[in-house]
Amino acid sequence: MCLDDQVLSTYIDGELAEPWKTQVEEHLLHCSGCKSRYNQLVDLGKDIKSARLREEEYVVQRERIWQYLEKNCVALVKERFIEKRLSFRAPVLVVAAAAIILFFSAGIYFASNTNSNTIPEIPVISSQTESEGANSIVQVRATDSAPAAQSLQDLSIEEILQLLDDRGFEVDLRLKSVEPLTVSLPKIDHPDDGMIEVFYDVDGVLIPEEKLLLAEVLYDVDGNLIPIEDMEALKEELKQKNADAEQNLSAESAETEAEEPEVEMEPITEEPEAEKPSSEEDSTAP
Amino acid sequence: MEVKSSGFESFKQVYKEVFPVIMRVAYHVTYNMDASEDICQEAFIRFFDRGLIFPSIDEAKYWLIRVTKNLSINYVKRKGREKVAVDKIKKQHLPAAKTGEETVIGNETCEMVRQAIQQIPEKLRAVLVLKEYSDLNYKEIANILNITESNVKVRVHRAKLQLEKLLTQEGVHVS
Repeated sequence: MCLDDQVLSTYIDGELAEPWKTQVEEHLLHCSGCKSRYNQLVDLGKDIKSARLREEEYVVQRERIWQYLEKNCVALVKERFIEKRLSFRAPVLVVAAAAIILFFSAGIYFASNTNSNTIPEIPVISSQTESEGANSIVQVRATDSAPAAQSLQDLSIEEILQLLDDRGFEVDLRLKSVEPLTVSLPKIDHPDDGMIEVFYDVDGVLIPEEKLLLAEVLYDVDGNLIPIEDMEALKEELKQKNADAEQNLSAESAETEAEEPEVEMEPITEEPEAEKPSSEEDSTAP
Repeated sequence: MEVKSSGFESFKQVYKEVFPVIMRVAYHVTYNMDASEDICQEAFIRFFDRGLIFPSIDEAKYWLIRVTKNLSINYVKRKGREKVAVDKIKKQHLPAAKTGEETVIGNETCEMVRQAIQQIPEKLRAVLVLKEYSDLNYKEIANILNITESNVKVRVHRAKLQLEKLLTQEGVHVS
């Protein structure tokens, strides 16, 4: 029995498994008809390979696309970094802001020492008495005297703490009040607890809250988002397809094999071709 | 080695290793250099934007090839529809668009094979291109196209037969 075209093609592609591979090789040694067909197919393969896009044909495009990607993707990385920095929860921002405000406009508590009014670097900022001795606690309000407030603002927290520490003060900082900081983030009315979470998409555009409530997001094989409205149709289609496939399996297998003789020798379980294309069609859809 | 599609270093490596394959897939499906450039760029942008993590560079390659093949097929289909519309108006046959690169190539066989591949149906063309120009085996092609290996085998062979017929008509194939 002479060799099937399909078998030869598979053999040439280097995909024919043993022991059939050896059988084909032996047959080719003796059968001139098959050998001639084999040579034809090998020549065809060479012709096809000769049309292969060569490196010198796409070198310009490779550089150009890379330049584009480098420019835009690096920019994207930067953008995402900023976005990440900005999108932490609003309460965190409020607390952080409050802490900063506290140091400059609220109050500093510290245990007074006997010579607390002799610090040259820090202006006298307390209007209260400090003669009670080492154990008394003196509340200092920067707002109590305008010049003090101004000069306090000139110093950083670290500098203030360092100075107080140098003088042997025991410094106890307390959060006095929490005020929301006006930030340039878009405002969102939230009825609940003030826990505001904001999300941005990759372009840095704020995602409206109602969109976030869509719990089920599905992607197709290409990673494209499947719109919710398509999901129902897709489910129906799948159900239908499964039903059809079962029916076709018995009915069409005989027909398909007749029209398209598969390699008998191959131990691969064949599936009727008819049910395949539809699934591939889906994957090509954008 | 894990590959992060948004990681700059792995992105760079994937680009270097996978670009030639992607470009060949796009070109041999569309046979249009400008379109192929757009498609490749789009595929890599999607790759970067998705922020995917692949267990190996091969998996990343399969993903990119799948996307490129789909974009290319879409282009061909769209182009086909446009061409039908244009032909209707002009009432004459338009030759397939040629790019500068193609005309530079003196190789006649190469040119004829490229012309012939454009005439076989997209479904067969995609499989043939993956087999002949992407250095993939049946199993990998089956994985990318989501069809069975034996289906790949049959389609590759059918594509070759159609190509053989077209080339014999053109007088390229002598044996």
